[in-house]
Amino acid sequence: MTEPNRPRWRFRQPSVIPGFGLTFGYALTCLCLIVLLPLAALVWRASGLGLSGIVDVARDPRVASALRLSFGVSLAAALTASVFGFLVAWVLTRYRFPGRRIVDAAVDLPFALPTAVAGIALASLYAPTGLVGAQLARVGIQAAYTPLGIFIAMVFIGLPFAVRTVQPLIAEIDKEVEEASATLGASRRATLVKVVLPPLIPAVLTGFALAFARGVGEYGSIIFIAGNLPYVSEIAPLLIVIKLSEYDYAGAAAIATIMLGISFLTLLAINLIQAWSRRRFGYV
Amino acid sequence: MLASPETDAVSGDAKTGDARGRGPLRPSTAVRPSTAIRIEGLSKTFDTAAVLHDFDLDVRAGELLGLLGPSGSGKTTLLRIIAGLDFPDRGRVLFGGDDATGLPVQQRAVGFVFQHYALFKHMSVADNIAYGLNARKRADRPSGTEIRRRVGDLLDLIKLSGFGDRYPSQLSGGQRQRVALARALAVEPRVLLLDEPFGALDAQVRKDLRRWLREIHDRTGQTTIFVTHDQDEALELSDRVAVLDRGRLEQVGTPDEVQDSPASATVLKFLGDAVEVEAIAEGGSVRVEGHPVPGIDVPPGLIGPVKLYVRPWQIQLTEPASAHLHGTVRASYRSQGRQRIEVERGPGRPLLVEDFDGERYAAGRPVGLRIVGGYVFA
Repeated sequence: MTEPNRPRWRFRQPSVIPGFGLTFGYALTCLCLIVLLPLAALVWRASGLGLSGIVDVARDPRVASALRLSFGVSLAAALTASVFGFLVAWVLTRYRFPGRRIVDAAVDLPFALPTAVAGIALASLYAPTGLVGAQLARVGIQAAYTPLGIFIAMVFIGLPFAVRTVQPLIAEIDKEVEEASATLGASRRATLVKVVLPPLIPAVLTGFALAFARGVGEYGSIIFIAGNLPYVSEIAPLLIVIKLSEYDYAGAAAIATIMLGISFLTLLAINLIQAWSRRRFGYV
Repeated sequence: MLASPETDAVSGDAKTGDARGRGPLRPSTAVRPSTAIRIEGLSKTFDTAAVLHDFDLDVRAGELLGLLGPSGSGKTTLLRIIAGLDFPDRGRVLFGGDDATGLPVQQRAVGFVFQHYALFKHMSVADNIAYGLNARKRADRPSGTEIRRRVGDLLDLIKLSGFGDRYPSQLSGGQRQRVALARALAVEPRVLLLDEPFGALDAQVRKDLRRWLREIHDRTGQTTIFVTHDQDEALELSDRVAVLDRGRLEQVGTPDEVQDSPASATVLKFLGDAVEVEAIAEGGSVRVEGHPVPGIDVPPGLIGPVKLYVRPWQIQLTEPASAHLHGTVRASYRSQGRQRIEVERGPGRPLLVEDFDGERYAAGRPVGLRIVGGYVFA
């Protein structure tokens, strides 16, 4: 009220650090060159088909089923990875046991392993003749060469994201807050649900988003275990590779563009939920 | 067995009742002191370091007890054991005559206030205060309107009416600590435990909150134990002070008792500045450099060289002829209405710090020191 002319928002905040223009421009240029340029090229390539052409590609039953499979299984796998990743992070942070550091280091192995190696390992493990696959086959479950196999591979590669995003926050949980809850009469479970978990939700969502994005984009570790049957266990990235080998570059770019669009919308939605939960939980 | 939380809640109702202005439940005088909490032979060892040795203490119902001690004296551990957040190796904690040693923290009905507030950051102020009531089992839980009413009353009590919808991050340190106190009071605890409650606040806020806590205590009569390492805080706030040192109870008594007749040199030194003077005890009196010092209680049978502990105000500057000690003024300054004079008693001898009404003394001036009181310990 005292300064009615003062703008509510200013592009450039006063700061002691110099060179705002230079650094801002530099950051934007890097972002454009590294991230936006390849994506723009992709969309450019696909736009050769025209919007109706892209819609036609999406309507193709084989493409549609591959997209459904890729996104559906990725969501399920990211959800699973988030739950188990949270548990792993919790145990690694809160408990002290022999070999903890080794397990902690092993969490990152899905990052480091060449994806093809991971895929072959998983395939041989879950194949009907494999160590785990044989046991599953006894109870009538076939994991390899089905969507279940894809799911397993996606959980495997998504887990490190889920663990690493929540781990630092779990480590930061103030023990006194839990004690305060206990002195107020709350059971261990109530403390966990009402006091400990809510502040972790944004981090869990980040892990979920990363695991989901990784699952959608994953190729190497999945194709070995997936079996790649059209309409059953053929993922969209594989379909892109098939199109490429058929020299159908526009078709490949179209599928890629559709994937890009859906992924972007999903990640945007997750980010919005995150922003909301941050506000909601008072981290302003 | 222990009184169930429900019966406690009933008596607690009366307590918050008077907090709303129906008059004090406990007139601060005429009440026969009954024991609310008894600590018997408590011992606790962390790793290899013992933090409590065979510790005994009675806490009277309705009193405000200060646990005073230097860091590492075991005071916080004692508080946490009473709360049920730590468990003793040996000994018992009795609540109103019932053994509570093995009772889990949730069933002890204590209110605990942490030094760093430990508020639930993702909950509004009102939700923080209502937390303990909402956490109760359905059968014991007050209705929604009743909870809202109590939260409103407590917000009034902590002078934060209208702040119910804010989040802890939007409050100042002093406001957060008041919310933490309201949250603890909301469950109508049988005892309120405060762990260095003002430790994280700056000096002025700390003073205000101290006075305010005393007021709240006088109005509610809530049995309260608080931990502090600040002797001024303990002496100003407490009905009784328990002085701890290295896991042992050195003395417990009213602020006047511990100041007038400290039980040990540790208590005396911890409660304020003191000067050590070499003296000789003989026949119930004390001599310094051959001159008798008046007004000293000498423990019976104490004979030979002793240390005489003298408060700064128990020393007078005087003519060298009638003095116990001699020295030269090193510096002189005024602080809070008193003249403080630092006197050097010769090379390598300790500096004396005097409190003295009167003139400023020039540095280098030779003076005589006359001791008019002090303490000796066996």
